[in-house]
Amino acid sequence: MESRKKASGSLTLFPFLFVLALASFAADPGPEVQMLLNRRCVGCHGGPTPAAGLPLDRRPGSPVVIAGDSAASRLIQRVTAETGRMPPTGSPLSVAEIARLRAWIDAGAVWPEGRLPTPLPNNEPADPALVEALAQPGEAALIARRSRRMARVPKPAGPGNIDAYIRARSPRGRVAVLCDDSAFVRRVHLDLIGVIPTLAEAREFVNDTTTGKRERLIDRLLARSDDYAAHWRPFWEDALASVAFNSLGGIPTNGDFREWISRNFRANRPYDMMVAELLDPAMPGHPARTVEFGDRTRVISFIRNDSQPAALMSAANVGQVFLGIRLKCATCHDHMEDAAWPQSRFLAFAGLFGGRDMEQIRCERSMQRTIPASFPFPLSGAPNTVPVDARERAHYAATLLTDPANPRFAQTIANRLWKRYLGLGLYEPADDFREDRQAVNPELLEWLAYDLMEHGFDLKHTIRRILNSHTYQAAYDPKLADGFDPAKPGAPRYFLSPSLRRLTAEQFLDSARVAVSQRFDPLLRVYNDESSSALSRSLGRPAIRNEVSTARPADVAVVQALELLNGNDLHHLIYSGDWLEGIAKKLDDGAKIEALYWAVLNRPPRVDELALGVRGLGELARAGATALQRDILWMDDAIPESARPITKKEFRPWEWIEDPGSHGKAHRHDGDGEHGFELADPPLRIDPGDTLYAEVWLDPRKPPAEIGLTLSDGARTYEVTWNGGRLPTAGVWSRLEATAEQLGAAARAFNSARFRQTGGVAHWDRLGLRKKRLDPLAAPLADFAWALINSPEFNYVR
Amino acid sequence: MHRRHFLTTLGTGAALAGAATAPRATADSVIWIWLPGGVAQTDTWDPKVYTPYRAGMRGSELLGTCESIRTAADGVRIGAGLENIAKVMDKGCILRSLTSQAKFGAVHLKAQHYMNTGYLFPAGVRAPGIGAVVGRTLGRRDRNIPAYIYIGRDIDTSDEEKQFIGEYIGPGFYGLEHAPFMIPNPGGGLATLAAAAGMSRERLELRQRILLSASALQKGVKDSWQAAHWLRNMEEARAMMDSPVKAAFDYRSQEPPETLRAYEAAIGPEQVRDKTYYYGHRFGHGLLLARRLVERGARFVQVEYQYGPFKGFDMHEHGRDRMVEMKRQIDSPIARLIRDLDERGLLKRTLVVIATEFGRTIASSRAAGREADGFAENHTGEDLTIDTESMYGFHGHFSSSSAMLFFGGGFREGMAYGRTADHHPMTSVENPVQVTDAHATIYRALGIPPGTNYVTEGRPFYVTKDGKGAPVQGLLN
Repeated sequence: MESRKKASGSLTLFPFLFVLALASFAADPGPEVQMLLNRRCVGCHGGPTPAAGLPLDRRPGSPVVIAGDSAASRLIQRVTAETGRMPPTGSPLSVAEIARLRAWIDAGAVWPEGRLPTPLPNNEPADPALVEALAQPGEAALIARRSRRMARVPKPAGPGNIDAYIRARSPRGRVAVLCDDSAFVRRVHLDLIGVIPTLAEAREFVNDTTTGKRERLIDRLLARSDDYAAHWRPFWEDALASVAFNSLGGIPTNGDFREWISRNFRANRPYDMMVAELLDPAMPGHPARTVEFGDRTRVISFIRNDSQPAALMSAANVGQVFLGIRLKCATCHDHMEDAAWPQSRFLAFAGLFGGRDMEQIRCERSMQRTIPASFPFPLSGAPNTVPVDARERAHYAATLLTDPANPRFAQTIANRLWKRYLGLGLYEPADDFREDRQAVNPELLEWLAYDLMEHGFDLKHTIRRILNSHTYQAAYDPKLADGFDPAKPGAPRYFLSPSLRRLTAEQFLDSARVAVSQRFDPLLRVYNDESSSALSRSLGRPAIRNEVSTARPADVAVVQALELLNGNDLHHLIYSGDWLEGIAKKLDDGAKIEALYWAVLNRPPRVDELALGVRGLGELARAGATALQRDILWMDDAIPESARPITKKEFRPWEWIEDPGSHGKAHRHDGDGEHGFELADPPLRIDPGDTLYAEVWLDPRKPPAEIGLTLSDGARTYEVTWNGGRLPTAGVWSRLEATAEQLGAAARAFNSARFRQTGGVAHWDRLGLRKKRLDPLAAPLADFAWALINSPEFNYVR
Repeated sequence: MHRRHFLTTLGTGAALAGAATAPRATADSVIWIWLPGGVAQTDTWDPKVYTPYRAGMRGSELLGTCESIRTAADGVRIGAGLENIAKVMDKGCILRSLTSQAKFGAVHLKAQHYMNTGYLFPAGVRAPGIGAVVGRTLGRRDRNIPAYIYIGRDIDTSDEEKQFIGEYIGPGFYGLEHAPFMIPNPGGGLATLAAAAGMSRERLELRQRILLSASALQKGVKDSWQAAHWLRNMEEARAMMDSPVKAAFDYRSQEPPETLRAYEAAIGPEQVRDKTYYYGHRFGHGLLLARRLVERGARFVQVEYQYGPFKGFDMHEHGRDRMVEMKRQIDSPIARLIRDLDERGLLKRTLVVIATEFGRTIASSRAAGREADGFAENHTGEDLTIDTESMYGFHGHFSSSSAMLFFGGGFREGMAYGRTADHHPMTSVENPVQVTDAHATIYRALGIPPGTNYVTEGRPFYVTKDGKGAPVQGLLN
């Protein structure tokens, strides 16, 4: 291993290392020669129909390569010829490249089988398990195939235990120290359900003295299916480039996968079945929609093949997300960095998803060649014949891709799970697998993947394995934490300490809300919210998804810091925490600080932190209370100044009347329907904790059956309705109220309001907003809570 | 990937790879005036002949819905309604032959993406807007003023198109650090530079101090580079609140009324056909704010006349009337900006660009969305009969040629570059310039080589398409 790496990286030291290289070639030539041939030859001499019938993506025979005699080998003769030189265009092979080929041939031309994959066609007969699965799509067939095919997968020899694998590669046999219970309870909550525990939950866990509590906590959190699925949703929405609509100004999107993701993760569906369903139209439950675009019909789904570029992009997305390979680069030319992927290999893959064989267009020039589709990974027992029909072809691709004997599939998800919980993968970058680069702990990765498959691709099983390991539960130590340097991708990682992971936008906002309210309300979780705000965007939650992505940016920037410092969204979230008001009144300063640390950071304050906190609270209290926020009266005797009445067909005109019971004038509505105004400027801003109010009088002779309010920001509407027992008493002026949470409208700015009713006569008067006010007594606590929420410890999982 | 590791592998040298020596800059700042919708060049910057409405006229006969007027630049005429800009035309040049091989059909967003990033969507990576490119490559001019500022666009909307627009006016793969500071309404300033309502200065200070001291006691993480980086940003944000940037926003009290009026639209809300697309003085005041920011050291300020599908410049009916309205919105503010910059001696080193995503041509059918072939690029207008006034105008998308204007920053003055055909389709017939080359010319003026690139996903992504943008010498001094 060591000597080969030297040889590959130092052509300039070639004479010195020639002997070394020669020796190592004889023993194990490794993939360099294959890569060289890939880079320089396989563009034409590859795929199912190679030029001149000579494939160079597998071992060439005599007389092209005559083992032991490079001078007589036609390969050498052609690459050194004066006329009829190979390659026929572009630069000739370099002196060093030719010398390597010569050396390889003279040393016996050993072809390292199984190192660099030899793509299909296979020479072995097709496995009946696969043949039947291909003939009979569906879930039952997939499960049957999986267990039959597992027999073909060699069980890795080894300890079968995460910590043992880690220990085996740990320098000087070092073992990590376990993290304390505070760190643990916070870490697993964030990792499994995406939000911190409440103060009570954290304290209870830390004070629990029974054995096995960590394992039980993991099980309890995994059993919370809705919350577990909620935390996975943003990850998979990013990975599938999910958007809530079919087109962006005429550009078809990939489609909306939110429901599909939630459903599958709530049910803990086996991973191979999920992926098969996503890629295979033959699976029931395959998420796709047919939409008319003018005169064309398009299928909106993760795989789009309505044009060659769309098909190529889809294939590249499949490769990146499910096989961890960055294939985008090979769409237009041979991959510049990864010689295992000449363009022809990628186009063969793309043909499976494109529904038809792909035309080879290199750097925007047609090569006048179509590349027959084929599965470009070695897969023992796979049938060679690629179906012609697009639907069957997709089924063929999905079946082979999710097969247990395809190591890339299970290893990619195993690696992603490892990275999700430890901060860095066993293989990095997690989306750029290279044949000539190993994982830092290949035995562990291989076993994790096998173990996942052996347990029916049950993700929770592997998550349980990882989270119960000593390795995961290690204490964070900045001196021991691994890093990743793209310039040194092969550098070892020991996982003696987890790496700090930045909270996602969703984790941060959901956790901040729990911290100051001490309530966990699943309906208020950010992942539910389609809209986007300056705050959520600055924290990394994408407003729109045009590209697949498997990692959120961990960027820190002034734009973001300004939002955290002064932005209204976060300010209102923190400064309306009613739990803060509760403890402000009941506790002394020391107890307040202790409560805050438990609530925000899930741990007790240390002595110096307590002292700082008490001192800080005192200074803040002396600095004066918050100016109370006023009521905002949006309209009274006329619609807001810049607004105008809604005059669209279904809307009734405004009818103003004098009404002594109102504060002057009222607007009257008789019968079904609604009236309203729009385009108010400035808009009315509603923040969490605010209460919308409206004054109404129902005519006792003819009361409506139902009344309601609708607010709009110009694109979306938010409604609240009163009917039945919730209708106010007729004949008296009443005040209706709806909280921001009831409206579902937290932190939005509205420029339109509509008054609805079903039958009857109603008079409406004032419409306004009662801003959530924090008791001045609680202001210093809110300030301190802000400081802790914006401290580094809150913003990283450690 | 760790940011600091990213920096060590990239280094500052790698960014300017592609040229042995960076060209000498003639401009330090840019004000990019973005007028989306597809401005009809025939009624503005590239007039042909005024052909008044006549019921039953053929589309091919419609060559202009307004007269053209002389400008301060000899031999250069522009559309009537732009009298103020005409008076400063001797300070700038008009590129009339900006062309693109890509045909966008009905898709504005693709064309807007192309004009702002130099790449066709989808580009394989999230392509950064030109403002992010300039901001990242040249950095801040004044350390207190963000390098990339964007004025005039609503941000907190739930409209999908507007969310997508955020993608290509944004930093793309460059990351949050190079994102624009968004100022939707110049009157409102940069909201997050002011403390939240109810937060007194004293409390803000105390709170910030508590943040720093409490963080310093967090034994678990305080020694990590992430914590150091995090706190540095929080401190920078706090410092920015007291910086000169804020003073720039206070134009209402600092500028004389005559100036404020000059930067206002010459048309009121009751005079526009579509009252839902009226933004008052947002655009004009945005230009005034841009000038004030440049005076204080801004690097790149983009001012948009907010895009609305089928609104404003995006005209598919009533083209003549629309153009009258829109010209009254932009004429005085733009002219005053040029004049003010010139008088302050800033025009020499400040490049002002006026851009749109494509031009307009004669429609191919009676109404938008009913074109048989989806777009109007090649139409002569022979088979279109204009029999109502609502059809009288340039209602077809035209990417074959459009106009871009340049003032200051080392660009030539008082001339028009390139020519388009005098009859439909009015393609570029002399000196066509590709979008990537127009970008390369702008970068040249700023001292940025066209091969400048940043690495993403293991490969370089160039600021001009594939690094091959060629600056057009005929536009530069």
